Amino acid sequence: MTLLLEIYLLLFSVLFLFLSLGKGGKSLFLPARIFSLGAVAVSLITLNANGLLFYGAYQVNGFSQIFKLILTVGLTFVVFMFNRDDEVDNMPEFFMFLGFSTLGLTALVSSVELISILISLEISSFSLYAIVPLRRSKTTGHLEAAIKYLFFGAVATGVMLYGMGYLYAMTHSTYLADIVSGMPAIIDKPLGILALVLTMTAFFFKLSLFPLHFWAPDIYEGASDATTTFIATVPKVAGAALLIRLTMLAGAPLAQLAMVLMVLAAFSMTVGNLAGLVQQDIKRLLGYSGIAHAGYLMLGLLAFNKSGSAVVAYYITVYLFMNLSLFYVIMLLSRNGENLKVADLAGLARRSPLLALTLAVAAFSLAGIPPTGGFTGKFFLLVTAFKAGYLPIVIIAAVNTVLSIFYYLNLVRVSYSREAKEESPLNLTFSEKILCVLFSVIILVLGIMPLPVMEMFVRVM
Amino acid sequence: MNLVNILEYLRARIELLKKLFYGFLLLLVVFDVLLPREHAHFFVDKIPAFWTLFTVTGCFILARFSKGLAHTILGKKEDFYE
Amino acid sequence: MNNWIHPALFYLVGALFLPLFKGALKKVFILLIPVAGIVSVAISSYGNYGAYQFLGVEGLFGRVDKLSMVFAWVFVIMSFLGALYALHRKEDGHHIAGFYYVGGSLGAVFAGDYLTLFIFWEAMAFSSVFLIWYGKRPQSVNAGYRYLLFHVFGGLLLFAGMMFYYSKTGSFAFNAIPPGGASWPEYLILAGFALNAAVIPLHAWLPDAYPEASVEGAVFLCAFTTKTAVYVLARGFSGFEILAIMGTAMTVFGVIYAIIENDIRRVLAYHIISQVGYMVAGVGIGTMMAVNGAAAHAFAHILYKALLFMGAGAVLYMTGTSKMTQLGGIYKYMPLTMIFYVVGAISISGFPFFSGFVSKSMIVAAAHHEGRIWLMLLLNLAGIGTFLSVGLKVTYFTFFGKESGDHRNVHEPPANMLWAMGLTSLLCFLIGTFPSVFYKLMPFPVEFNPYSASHLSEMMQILSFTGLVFYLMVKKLAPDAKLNLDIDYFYRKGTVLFIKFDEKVIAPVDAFWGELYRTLGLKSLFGTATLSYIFDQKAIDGVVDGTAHSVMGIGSIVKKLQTGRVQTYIGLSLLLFFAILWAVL
Repeated sequence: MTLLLEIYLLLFSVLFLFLSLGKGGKSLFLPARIFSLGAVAVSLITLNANGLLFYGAYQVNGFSQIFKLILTVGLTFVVFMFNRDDEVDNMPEFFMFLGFSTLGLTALVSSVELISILISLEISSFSLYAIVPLRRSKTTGHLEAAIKYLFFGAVATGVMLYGMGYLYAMTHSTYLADIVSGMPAIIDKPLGILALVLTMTAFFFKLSLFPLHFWAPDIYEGASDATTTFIATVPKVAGAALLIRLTMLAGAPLAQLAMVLMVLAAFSMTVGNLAGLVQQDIKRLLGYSGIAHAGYLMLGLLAFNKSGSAVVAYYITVYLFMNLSLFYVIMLLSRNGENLKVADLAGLARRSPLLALTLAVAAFSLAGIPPTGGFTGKFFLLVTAFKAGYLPIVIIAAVNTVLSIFYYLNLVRVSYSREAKEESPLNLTFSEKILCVLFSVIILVLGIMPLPVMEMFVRVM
Repeated sequence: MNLVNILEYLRARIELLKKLFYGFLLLLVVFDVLLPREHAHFFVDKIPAFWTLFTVTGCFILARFSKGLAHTILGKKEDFYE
Repeated sequence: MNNWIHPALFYLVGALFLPLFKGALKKVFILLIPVAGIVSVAISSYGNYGAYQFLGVEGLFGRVDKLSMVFAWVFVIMSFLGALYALHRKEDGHHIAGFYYVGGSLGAVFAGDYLTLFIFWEAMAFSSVFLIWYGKRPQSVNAGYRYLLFHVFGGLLLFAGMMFYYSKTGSFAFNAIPPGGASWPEYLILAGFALNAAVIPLHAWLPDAYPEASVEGAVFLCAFTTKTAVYVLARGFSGFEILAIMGTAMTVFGVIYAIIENDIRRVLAYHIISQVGYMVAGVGIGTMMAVNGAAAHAFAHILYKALLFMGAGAVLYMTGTSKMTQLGGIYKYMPLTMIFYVVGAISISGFPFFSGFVSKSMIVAAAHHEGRIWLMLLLNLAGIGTFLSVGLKVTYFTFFGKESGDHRNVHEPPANMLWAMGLTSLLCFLIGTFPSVFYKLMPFPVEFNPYSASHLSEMMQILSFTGLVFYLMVKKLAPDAKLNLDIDYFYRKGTVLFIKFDEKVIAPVDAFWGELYRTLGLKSLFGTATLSYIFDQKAIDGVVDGTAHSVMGIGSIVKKLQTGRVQTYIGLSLLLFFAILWAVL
C-alpha cells in the first residue's frame, strides 16, 4: 500500500467536504485531531514503502516518505494548536482545505515528473489560496492578503512552467530521471541553468525567498493565526524538499547556479532581517524572519551533495518546529483573534512562565542560540557552505545572524522585563501545557542530539 | 560583639596608630636603603628606596589624574543613559 | 589510572536534575554537583580523551595537561564556593544557569579544537546572561541584553577567525600559534578571545553588565568568562607582543576607573579589567615565568575577586545598595563581612601572606627579568591603584567613614554566604602563606621565591606609602554619585542611531514599492493603466466569488487594495528576479 497516506488524506478531506455540506454547529476539533493523528500513523506505517507508480511519474521512497512524515506531523500540530471556533469562518472547509493542501504537498515530494510536480503544487496552492480569506475579522486585510497570495502564486507558477518548458525543450522529457541524464549536455549553457532556476521559482515562492517574498509579511499579517501557522510551516517543508530534488538534478556542483542561489540568499537574509528589526506586529515580524530563513536555507544547497541536502532537510525540520512553537504562543496569547503586537508580550513571564519559556526557546532557536536546534542547524548550514568553498556567503549569513538576534531576543526581553499592562495570569489547559513543553523539548533535542536525525536524512538523500 | 569592640578600641586611639604607622614607614625606608644591591641590573633596583619615591609620586598622580578625568569629561548624571 | 570523566558533565547533566529535588535535599544536591566536579578533576590524569569525528572534522573534548588542569582546578573550587554562596537562592533557574556557565568554562578549558571550544564558548555566554537577568532590575535586563549582543559579536569574530584558520591550515586543532606566523585569521581569533578577556577597547561589556547581575550571579561571573579567555590566550597566543602592551594598558586603565567609580561592584568590575591585564601581559611576555605568573594569577585572582564580590554582594543584599555614597560606617553591623572583604582586598593588593603577593609578583618579576622596565613600572603603578581603590577606598567609604543613610537594622548576611566568604578567605591565606604547593600546579617549573628580602621590601613600600597617600588625600578621593562614560557610550548611542536609521530608511523601503510604482511608471509592465484596471476588477471579482465566501461590499476591498499594488509587487519581484539572473548568468 504505497499510496495509503495519499488515499487517507483524500478521505480526510472528503470527510470534511461532506461535513461542510451539512448544517454544522458541532465542534470539529476532536475529529480533526483524531484524523490528523491517524495521518501521522499512516505515514509511519508507510515510512519504508517503496515503489514507482503512474508510469514512473510518482516515486515512493525513503526521501519522499520521510518528508511525508514531517508534513503530516506538521499538519497534526497545526490542527492540535488550533482550538478557537471564532477564528475562522466555515470550519469544515478550513479543515478540508488543510487536508487537500497537505495531500498536494505529499504528492509533491513524491513527484519525479514535471507535470505531476505542477499538478501537486497546484492542488496544495489552490487550497491555501482558499483558506487565507477565511478569517473572521472586522477588517478586510485578510481579503487583500488572499488576493496578493493568489496573484503571486499564479505568477510564480507561471514562471516555473516557463522554466519547465525550457527543460522539456532541451531534454525532450518531463521525467526528472531523463532530465538528469540529459543534464550534462546542457548544463554548461546559461540556458540550462536558467531553465533550472526558473523551475525552482515556484518553490522559492513557497519559501518566500527574495525577490519572491513580497507576499509573506502581508499574508502573515492578514490571514488568521491558524492559517498563517500552516502557510508559514508545512508548505515550506515541501518547498525545501523540491529544491533539494531540483538542485540534485544538476548532479555536480555548478558555479553559476550556486552564484544565483548565493545572491538570492544574501538578499533574502539581509532584506528579511533588516525589515524584521523594526516590525511591531509579531506575525509580520515572523514573515520577515521567514524570508531571512529562506536565505539561510539556500546555504545548504550550495554543496550539491547528500550531506548538504540532509542539512537543508534538517534545518527545515527545525524551522517547522520553532515556527510552530512561536505561532502557538501567539495563538494562545491573542485570545480575541486580533493580531499580536510585540508590546503585548509585556509581562508574559509573570502571566504565564511556561508560555514565556516556550517563546524564549523558540526565539532563541530562530536566532540561532545554542543549545537549540536553530543553532545546530545554522551551524551545519554555515559549515556546509564553508566547506563547499563559499566563504563570502558564510560571512554574510553570520553577520545576518547577529542582526537577527536583536529582534528575536527583543521578544524574549519584552516578555521577561516589561511590566504587564494586564496582570491577570494566563491559565493554560493541561493539553496546552503539554503542547508547549513538547515544542520546547523537540527544539532542544534536535539541537543537542542532531546526529540521529541527520543520519536519517543522509540515508534517504 | 567582640570584633566591633576591638575596632572601637583602636579607633579611639587613632593618634597612637598614626604614630606607629609613621614609624613603620620610616623603618621600611631604612630597611630598603640597607638592602644589598650587588644583583641590581636596572635603575629600579639601584636607587635606594626607589619604590617609596615611585609610590608617593605615582599614587598622587594617579589619584589626581583619575579624579580629574571624572570631574571633567567622564562624569555624567547617573541617569545619563535613561 | 587512565580514565577521565569530563567534569563539565556533572554540571551540565546534574543541573537538569535540580528541579527534582526539594527543600534541604536540594541544597545538598547543589553542593554535590561541584563536589563531583572537584573529585573528577582530582582523579584526572594527563592525556587526550574524547576524540570524535563530526562532519568530517576532528574534535577533541578532553585535552588534559598541566595548563588546562590549573584552570580546571580553580574552576571547580570556585564553583563550589559560588554554589555555597548562592545556596539561599530559591530559583532553580539561577542555579542551573550558574552550573551551565561553569560547565561551559570547563568544556572550553579542556577543548582540544576550535569547534568544541566554540560550542562551549557560546554556551558560556548564553548561560551567563541569565545570571545578569536574575538581577531583576530593568537595568539588569537591558545590560544583559547588551552583554549578550557583545558576546555574540565576539563569538562571531572567533567563528570567522577559526573558519579562515581552517581554510589556511586545514585543521581546527587548537594549539599554540607562533607569533611570527600569525596573519589575520589568527588575529581574528585573537580578537574573539580578547573580547572575552575584556581587553580594551573590547572591554565595555564587563563593567556594564557585571554590576547589574544578581548578587550571587556576579560571584560566578567575575570568575569564569575572563579567566577562560586568559586560558585560551595562554594556550594559543603566548609571546604576542601586542598582548604584553595591551595587558599593561588594561592594568592602568582598570584602576583609573576603579578609583573614580561609586558603586562597589562597578569598582570591582573595572578592577577585573586591571587584574586580567596582568594575566594578559604575562601571556604576552610569554616566558615560562610569565605564563606561570598568568596562570597563578588567574587562580589566585578568581578566589579573591570572588571574595570581594561576595563581600560587596553581601553589603548589597543586606543594605539594598552598593553605592558608597549611600553607605559608610557599617562595620558595626557587618563586622565579619568587613573582615572577609578586607582579606580579599589585601590579597588583591598583594600583602605578604596573602595570595596576590605570590601570584601577581611573578608577572611583575617576569617583566623585570626580561628587562621590560616600563611594563614593570606600569604594572606596579596599577598595583598602587589596586590598593588605593579596592583596598582602601572601598573599605574606608563602605565600612568606615561617615554613615550615610540609615543602616541600623542591617546585620550579617545568611550563614551560607558567611561560610563561602570564610572558606574563600582561608584559601587566599593558604595560597599566600604556603605558595610551594600552589606553585606545583603551575604549567612550568617555578623558580621564584616571593619572600625574598628585596621583593618584600618593594611590596611593603608600595603598599604602605599608598596607605600614606590615601590618608593624606582621603577627602579628594571621596566617591561621587556619578556615572562615568566609557566605550559603551559609542555603542549604546550607536544602537539607538542604527534603529532610528532602520526605522527611517529600511522600514519605509517596505512601503516604498508602492511609491516606486507611481513614480517610475512600472505600470507599463502590465500595459496601460486602463488595462490594469480591468485586470483588477475581473481578477479580484473572480477570486472573491471563487472562494464561495459571501463578502459584503466588494468595492471597499478594491479600495483597500490600493489599485495596482499587487501588480507592483509581482512586477517588481519578477524584475528583480530576472535582473539577478541576468547579472549572474
